[in-house]
Amino acid sequence: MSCDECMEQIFELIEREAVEPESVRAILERCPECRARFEQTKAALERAGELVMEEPPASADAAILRAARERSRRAPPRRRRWLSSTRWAAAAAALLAVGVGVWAIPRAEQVERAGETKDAESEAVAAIERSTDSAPVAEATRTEESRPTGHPGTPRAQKKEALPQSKRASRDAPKPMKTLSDEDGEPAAAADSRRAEAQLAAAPASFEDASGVSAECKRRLAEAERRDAKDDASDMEPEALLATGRCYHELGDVAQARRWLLRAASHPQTKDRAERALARLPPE
Amino acid sequence: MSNPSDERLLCAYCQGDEAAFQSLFERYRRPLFNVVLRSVRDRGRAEEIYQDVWMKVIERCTDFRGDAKFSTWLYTIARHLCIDHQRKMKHRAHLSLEGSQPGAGPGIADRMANPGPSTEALAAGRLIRDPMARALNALPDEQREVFLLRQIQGLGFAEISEIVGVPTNTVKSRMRYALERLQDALREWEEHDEL
Repeated sequence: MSCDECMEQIFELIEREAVEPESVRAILERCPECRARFEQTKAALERAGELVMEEPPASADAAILRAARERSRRAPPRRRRWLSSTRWAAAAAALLAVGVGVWAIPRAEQVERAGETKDAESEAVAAIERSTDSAPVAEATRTEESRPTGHPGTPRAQKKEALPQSKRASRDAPKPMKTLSDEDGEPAAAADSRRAEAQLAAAPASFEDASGVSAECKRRLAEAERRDAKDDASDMEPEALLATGRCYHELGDVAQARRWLLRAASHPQTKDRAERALARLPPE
Repeated sequence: MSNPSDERLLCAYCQGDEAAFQSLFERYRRPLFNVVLRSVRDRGRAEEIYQDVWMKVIERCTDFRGDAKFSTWLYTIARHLCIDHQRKMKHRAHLSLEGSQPGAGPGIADRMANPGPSTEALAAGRLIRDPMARALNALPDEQREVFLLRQIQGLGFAEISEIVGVPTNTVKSRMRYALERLQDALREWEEHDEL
C-alpha cells in the first residue's frame, strides 16, 4: 500500500470502515506524513463532536405530541387490531383446519365402517342366497335397492330383517368343523355354499360378538371376510395373512385359522412363523 | 420489551399506542432538530421544518413499509423539506435580485439570518464551538449534510448514501473533504485567535 492509498484510508480507519486496516496501520508506523494526517483527522473528528446541540422549542414539541395523541385516538384500538393481524389470522386458520380435520376423521371412519358393514351384510346375504332358497328375498332386496331411499318398504328394512334371521339360524345350528379338504372334488357352487355354511356354522354368529377377541383382530377378521367374499385375498401382504390366521385362532375358528396360516406359510417371509402357528392349532 | 426497535415502536404507534410514539420521539427529537437547524441555517425555518417532519411521520406512519430503517425514512423526509425550503429561498432571492417589488418580502441579508449558536451556548465560554459552527456553515451543502447526519445522528455511511442518493464511496469522500475544510477553518481561527 502506498502513502497515497494510505491517506485515502485514514479516514475509514478512524471511522472503523477501512478495507485493509492492518496495511494502513503498518504505513502509519513508518510514514511520518501519514501519521500526521491521521492525527489531524482524528482531532477534527473529536472537535466535530463538540458541536453545540440545540434544544428543540418546547412549543413545537407540545404541538407534535398533541397531534400524535389525536391520531392515536383515531387509530383502531390495539385489542381489536391484533385480531386482524396477519399472524393471528394465520393461527386462527390453522386452528380451524385442525378442528375440521379432527371432526372429519371420525366421520370418515364412520362412513368407512358403514361401508364395510354394508359390504359385509351384502356378502352375507349373498352367501345365504347361495346356500338357501332365499333368492327371491335377496332379489327383491336388490331390486328394491335401486329405488330411491325414503320409499316405504325399501331394501334396507327387508335386508335387515333377512340378515338377523340368518344370523339367528347360524347361532342355533350345530357347528361342524369343516376343513378345506372336505371341499375337494365337489362342484363349485355346492362347494361355495358349503364353505359359506361352514363359515357361518363354525364361527360365532359374528366375530364382533365374540368376547376375548381384540379390537385389532376384529378389524382383521372383518377385512379377511370382505376380501374372501370378493376372492381378492391373494394380494394381501404375508404379514396380514399371518395375523389373520392368528386372529382366527384367537377366535376359535381352527379351520379358518389353518386356512389363513397355510396362505401365510406359502410366503418365504412368514413361512417359519406360520408353520409354528399351525403346529399350535388344536386338532380338528 | 426492554429496548424495542424504532420500527416496532412506529408500528405500535400506528396501532394506537401513544406511548410508543413518545419513546420514538424522545430518541430523535434533538438530533433531528439540530440536523435541520444546521442545514437551513435559520432557526425560525428550522422550527417549522422540524414540526412538519414529525407531522408527516404521524400522518403517514402507515406508509412506512418497514423495508428500510425508521431513521432513513425520517431523515429522508427531513432532507426533502430542507431542499424545498432552499429552493424557495433561492427563488425569493432571485426575485429580490431583480429589484424591489411592491409587496416583496425582505432581502437576502434579512432572510439569511445568522443561525449561529444560541446566546446560552456562547455564554458557556467554549469558543471552539463558535468557530466550528461558522466553519460548518461555510461548507458546501452536500458536504455539510453528510457531516451532520454522521456526526449528529451517528448514521452509517451506507444509510447516509441511501438518504442522499449517492454511492457510499461518494459519501465517504464528502465526509473526508468536510473534515479537511473544517480543520483548515479551525486552524485559521486558531491562528487568528493567537494574533
